[in-house]
Amino acid sequence: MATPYRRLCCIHRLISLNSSCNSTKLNAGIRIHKCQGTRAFSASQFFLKKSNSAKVTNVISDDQRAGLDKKLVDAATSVASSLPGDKKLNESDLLQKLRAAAKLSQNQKSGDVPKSKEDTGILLKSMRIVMSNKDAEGNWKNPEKVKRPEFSNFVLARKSSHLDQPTRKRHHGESNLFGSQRLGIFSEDFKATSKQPDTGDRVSVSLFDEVEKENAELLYNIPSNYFEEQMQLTKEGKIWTFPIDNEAGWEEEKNVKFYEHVFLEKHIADFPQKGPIRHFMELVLVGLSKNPYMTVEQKKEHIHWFRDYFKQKQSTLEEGMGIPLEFKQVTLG
Amino acid sequence: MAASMSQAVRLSCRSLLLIRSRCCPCSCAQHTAVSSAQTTGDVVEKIEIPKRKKRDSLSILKALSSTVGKDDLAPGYMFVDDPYLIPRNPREQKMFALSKSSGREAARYMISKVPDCFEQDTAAPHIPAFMPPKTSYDHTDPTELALIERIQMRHVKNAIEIYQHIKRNGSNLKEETMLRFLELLCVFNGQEPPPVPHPETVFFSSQEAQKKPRFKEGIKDASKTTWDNQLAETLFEELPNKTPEAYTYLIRGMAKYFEADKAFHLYSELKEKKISVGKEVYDTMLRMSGKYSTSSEECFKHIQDLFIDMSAAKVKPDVLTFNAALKSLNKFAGFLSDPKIRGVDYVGRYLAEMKFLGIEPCLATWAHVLFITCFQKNSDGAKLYEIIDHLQGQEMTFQDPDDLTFFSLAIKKVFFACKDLEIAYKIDELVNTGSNKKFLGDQNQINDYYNYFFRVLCMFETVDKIMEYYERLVPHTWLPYRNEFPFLLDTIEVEKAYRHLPRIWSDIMVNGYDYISLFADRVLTMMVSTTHPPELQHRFAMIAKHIMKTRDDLIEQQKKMSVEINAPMMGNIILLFLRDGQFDEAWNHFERYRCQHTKFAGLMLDDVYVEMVDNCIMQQDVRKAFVCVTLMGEMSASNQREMVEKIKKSFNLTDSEREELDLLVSS
Repeated sequence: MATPYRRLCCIHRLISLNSSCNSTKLNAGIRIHKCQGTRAFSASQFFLKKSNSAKVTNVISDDQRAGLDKKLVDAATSVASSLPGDKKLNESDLLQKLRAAAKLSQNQKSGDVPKSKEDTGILLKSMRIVMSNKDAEGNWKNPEKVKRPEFSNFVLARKSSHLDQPTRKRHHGESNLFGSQRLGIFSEDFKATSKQPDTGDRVSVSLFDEVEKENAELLYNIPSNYFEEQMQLTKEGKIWTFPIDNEAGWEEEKNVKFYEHVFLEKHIADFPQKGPIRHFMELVLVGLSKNPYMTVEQKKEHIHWFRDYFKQKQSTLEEGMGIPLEFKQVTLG
Repeated sequence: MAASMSQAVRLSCRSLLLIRSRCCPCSCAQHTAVSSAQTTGDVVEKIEIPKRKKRDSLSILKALSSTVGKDDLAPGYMFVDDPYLIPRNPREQKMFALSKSSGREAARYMISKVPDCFEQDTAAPHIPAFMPPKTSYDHTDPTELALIERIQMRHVKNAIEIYQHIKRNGSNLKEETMLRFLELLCVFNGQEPPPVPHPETVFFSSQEAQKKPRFKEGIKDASKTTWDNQLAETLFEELPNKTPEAYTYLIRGMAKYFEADKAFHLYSELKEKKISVGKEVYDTMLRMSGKYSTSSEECFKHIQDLFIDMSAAKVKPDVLTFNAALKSLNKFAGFLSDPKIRGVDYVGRYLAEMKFLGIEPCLATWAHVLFITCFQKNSDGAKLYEIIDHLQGQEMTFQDPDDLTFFSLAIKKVFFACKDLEIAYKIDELVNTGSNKKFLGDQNQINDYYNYFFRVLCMFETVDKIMEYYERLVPHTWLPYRNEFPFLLDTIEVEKAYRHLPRIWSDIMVNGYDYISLFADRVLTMMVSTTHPPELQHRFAMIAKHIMKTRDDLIEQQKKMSVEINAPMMGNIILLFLRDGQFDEAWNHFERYRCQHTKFAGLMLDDVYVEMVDNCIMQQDVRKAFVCVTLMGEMSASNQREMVEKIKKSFNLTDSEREELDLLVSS
């Protein structure tokens, strides 16, 4: 990965060296843009012209070096020697690249349409990586400074992108994501589908998991519509749960049958069998059996309260009514 | 309350409108089975009755929620309010959301301050969530029950107090209680648990954290982030029987508060004693190994050892296990692409292992893989293509908090490494699949995602297509920041699509005065660069007028902000008025410049004078033409002589006037 990139950078540097031989600075592109009507003048043409006009002064007979400036060849040699790996190979790579560029520009100068755009593509790619990154970063840190990019690198990139398109076609063949050799640590038994039980002592859902889960899902659970907000409220226990259930929330009444609410006679079995108190209590039971708002326990308590009351007042009542009041000993339930 | 109710009603109406007809899976399956039986005729296919689905209280809401689409023209759910109050730029959005959350915070404060006022319980059955939080305890004596009560309520400080009381009294605790207490101490590092943040605060938290300098945060937030838990360690030592749970709690606690050395020490102790622990411990150790190691080789070795330990202990790994390992490697991402270390190979091997075990990687896994394999700037992002191809069309489920980092990372890689439009579209398609949008993350990450997506669009796409996306996304999904506008303006300049300028200007305006002063010059220059059809020209003149008005208003109100206008900009404004046929307006501005030209830096372009003189000639106004030429002389404009000649030709001048003109040119 690293070596081709460095090579491209070197080529880039060489080209800039090449153009500076001609005593024109790199950013001369800006001036070219300013001339009306030459907006479409693309980066590639610009750079290729530069390299073209610098060549053919001192031709070396070696066929590798043919068609290149001596200064350029020397520079390439020195760069190649500073690169890691095979020195000769590096040098020949660089020279080949430069020669191809020179040839292409020669062709273009004479009006030939280049058959393959691959070389320009690579050239431009190398330029753009360096330049557009710089542009993006500069933008990021200090937007005021790049307030008016007259002919920004971005535009260069945009223009050249059309040239570049064919080379960025990629091989969309088989995915090689999982193609490597596996670690080989885990055996078949560890497969997600295998029934083999986990022998590690798994701590049942602990406070750790609970807190971690709460924190992890905070961001993901930000409601993006009304129903999601309702879901949150349901989890917090603030709204009725779906499906709608009239008895939601009556936890203590879950296991109580309806007849316990309605048939309450057994609770006054110990009261006197007849007389006004019996009559009164029967009326109380009618009222209680129709009351949906009290739990059975509360109803029992209610009856119990009357039992206590009448027992306390037993002597007074007996005196007033002239009949003996007897509470039987009956075991309830 | 009433407002929120009406909002709820309005929203539910909207959602209901969006409900698409959806048949329930069971009837659908039956239907297809029956129809296929009819078509084949003789062969009677067996009808498979699908198994009953388990449903809970959220199932209905989930089904309903899945029918709600995204309305690009409506604000995000968090920002829905009275139309007048709907925030329109990032600053307002933040203000809006955070004030909502601080309102809730205030309510929370009041309830905790005066709980007596909120004791009314009208609900039957009783709803505990609507009552003020319980502050009193059932057990006040220092007993085991009291300790358990405080542990359940997660009251760390009081639990510690009770524990110390019990210890002083010399009474013994059950082992189970001690373990629970140890767990509480480890989870919260021996401090009171922080309050649950409101969703709005979470949504903007990373933005806030970025802005605040570290030290300031430290002062404000007293809670410690480092392991400082002597009590937990002594408690652990005092345990008569060191169970796997005890080790688990302590190791997880140490890892949670970044105490890698102690955690590893404890882990080796655990290994020596051959105590078997659960997956959680291995996950934790894997996550810690990055912090514990000083080099990538060491990190690999730790991960390898932990995997081997897991395999020996017969603990099944899952996706979180591998995520933890990959996350550790993230730290060494810079070194891993070095061919000597072959780190990228290792990542591939982990993935192969996952494939073998039948574990489907989640977005977090891919985010880590992407981070490691495409770390260096020269990376061509080849892995990204494979990952996106693999994920195409899938609807994700949430598994790991790091899931939310994937999309913004991926699109950044496209911008910096791949520079490919096709892959950017594929990523966007994936984002828009099902409910994957929820994986975009918080405000910062959403902005990152759309910023870079837009930059890629601006690089390769035609202006019309860009604007199509722009219309869809702005302003409710995303608002361009100051760094994105230049990209857009560049594109428009290159394609000469000036017809889009009014729309973009209106979005610049919405962002406030600083954006106006930042982009006014650029936009003005673009507007005068060529001539346009009359309608567009008129709108441009309106923009120019608005810029001037904003500047004057700001000066009048003596605000600190100002929109700086220099002479070239002034010239452009005058030109725009002239081209729209508003000669009087143009002349007013020209006069203004003439009288106070020292206040405007720089010089107007010569074109302004030329067009001004031409217009004066058209208006047959000799006096104004004279003023123009005089000013040209004062400002040493280059073509004054030509203009004088032109005036001489176009008007019937008296001798004195001709003399005056000659005098101007000669001086």
